[in-house]
Amino acid sequence: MSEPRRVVRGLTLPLAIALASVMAAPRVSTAQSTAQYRARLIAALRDRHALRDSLDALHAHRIAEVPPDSMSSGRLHVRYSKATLGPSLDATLRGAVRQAAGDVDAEFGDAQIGDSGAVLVVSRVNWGMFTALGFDAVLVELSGGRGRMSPVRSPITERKLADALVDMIGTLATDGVPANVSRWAGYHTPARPLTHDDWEAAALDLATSNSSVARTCYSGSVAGCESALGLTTVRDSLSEWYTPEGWRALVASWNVQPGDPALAAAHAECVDKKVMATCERLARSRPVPVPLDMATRSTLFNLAIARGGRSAYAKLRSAHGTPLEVLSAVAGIAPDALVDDWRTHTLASVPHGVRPGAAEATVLLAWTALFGFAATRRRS
Amino acid sequence: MFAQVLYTQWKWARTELVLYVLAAFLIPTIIIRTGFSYVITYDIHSALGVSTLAGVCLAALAMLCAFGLAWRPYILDAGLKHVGPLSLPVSWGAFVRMRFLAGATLLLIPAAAVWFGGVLAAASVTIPPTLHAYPGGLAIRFYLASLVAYAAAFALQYVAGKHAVRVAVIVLVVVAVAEIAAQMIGFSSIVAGAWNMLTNWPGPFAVFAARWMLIDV
Repeated sequence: MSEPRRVVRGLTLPLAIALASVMAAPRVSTAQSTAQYRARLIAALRDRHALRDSLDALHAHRIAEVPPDSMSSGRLHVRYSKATLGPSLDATLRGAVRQAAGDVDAEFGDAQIGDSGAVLVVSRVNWGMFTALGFDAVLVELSGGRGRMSPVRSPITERKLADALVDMIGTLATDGVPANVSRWAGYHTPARPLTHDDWEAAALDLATSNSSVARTCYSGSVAGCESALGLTTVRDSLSEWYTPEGWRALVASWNVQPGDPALAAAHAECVDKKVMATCERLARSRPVPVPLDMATRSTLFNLAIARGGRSAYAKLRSAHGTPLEVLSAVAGIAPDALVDDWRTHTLASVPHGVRPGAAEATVLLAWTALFGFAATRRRS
Repeated sequence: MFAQVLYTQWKWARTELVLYVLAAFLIPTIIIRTGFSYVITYDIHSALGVSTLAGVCLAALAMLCAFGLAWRPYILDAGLKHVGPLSLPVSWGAFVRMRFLAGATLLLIPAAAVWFGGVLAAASVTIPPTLHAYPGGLAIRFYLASLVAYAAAFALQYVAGKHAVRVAVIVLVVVAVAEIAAQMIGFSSIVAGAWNMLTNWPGPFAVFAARWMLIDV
């Protein structure tokens, strides 16, 4: 290789690194005025509306494009193109619709799902990075321009397709959740039944919360649980939910950007020097988080639905009052009894997994014996 | 004869066993003490984060102990073309069984160090009110995890013989190529499925994916 070419090759990598570091360097931010901020917000809102309108139009166009082949089972109606799906997927879809209809009846009972049942559109698409190599996938979407769709990837089975259909129906079933309940739940009201993992996550949230009311809930206070779940009215959430050490823990959890030296200094004063007045000032400068997170709050919602039986979703639509009153009406038991039930369920799910159980130990010893046996089978 | 095999293995492995014991004793002690000195009493997530870090280090140590104790005897035997084992008045299978049991017995030593280190570490810090220390549970988990990893490594070594490393590398390469190909054409992850089978109950390595927490809820 000639000398100039070697020099050029030698310089390429350092130059590329230098260029990348210059381009990736943090930019100095400038404060914007209220007028600028307002103008930007209005522009963003206008963009949002335009985007939503175009999405709705696109979705309506997609729905209109689907040929009118259909199949129904119970309150479930599916529109699809028989020719596009092909005989194999068509048979899978038929099985899935039958399964899903049974699941919908079991899970959502008397819930009102659309005006005359749910209409879902199922279409076949190519899925993958390269069209030529892409695999088949099936898209399940709600009709009526709602915009929600869920892909089912290969291998497409009846169970996977049925789960996607039931998931879509869940969106319709929770349509009638009263606004205050939805707001309380952090707009997270999943319709699917709770799993052990959901309960375990709730138990961990309860056991690891920085809040003093969450600790009283853990120790047995139902009133503490109601407060920690954000179900009671509080005058001063910071002092009622958290102790001064909790304020410090809240502030310590912030990710302070280096571009704000005043905030960084105050943060250090609170966390490192333990100046509680600074901790309180900082903690009050941001919304105080409800002690238990929205996934934990949704477990109470799902528990109420499960306790309410077939008529739970119907009662949810007609119930009035505070979120706790609504959930209590849905479950058909007293508010304190519902929360106490939730606490019992949650504490029973606290993972005590550090010491392996008898079954786990037995299985591990069996694997060990199997590997050991395999090792003796070959003569060196 | 088992006592003789155990003694030989102890002689070969005692230096590394001392290192494992030191690590098993010091990991929980140093990480928990240092970590908790920065933790706010009610910042339980940070406390659990410190405990998780100690657990990850102990899981890695369990794997290291397992592989070290599984491979060293074979490599030393292979260096002498297995003359010693083959001259013994027992079958190859019986000899391998004794080798296996001797290694499994030696793994009890670092596990005991994990328990002792855990007890000291837990006693030296203030644990938040909703948390508890589990030194015994952690030591049992450490032993079982190192035992199953030891058995897997031992089986690979004694089945594949001198080609063990080559077999392991070929398996890794095949899996990586299959995964990249599957991802490129949009298929569900193959590795994720196999990984889940191995690391989820009742897979052999589920013990490594469990909670390795000296201090936990």
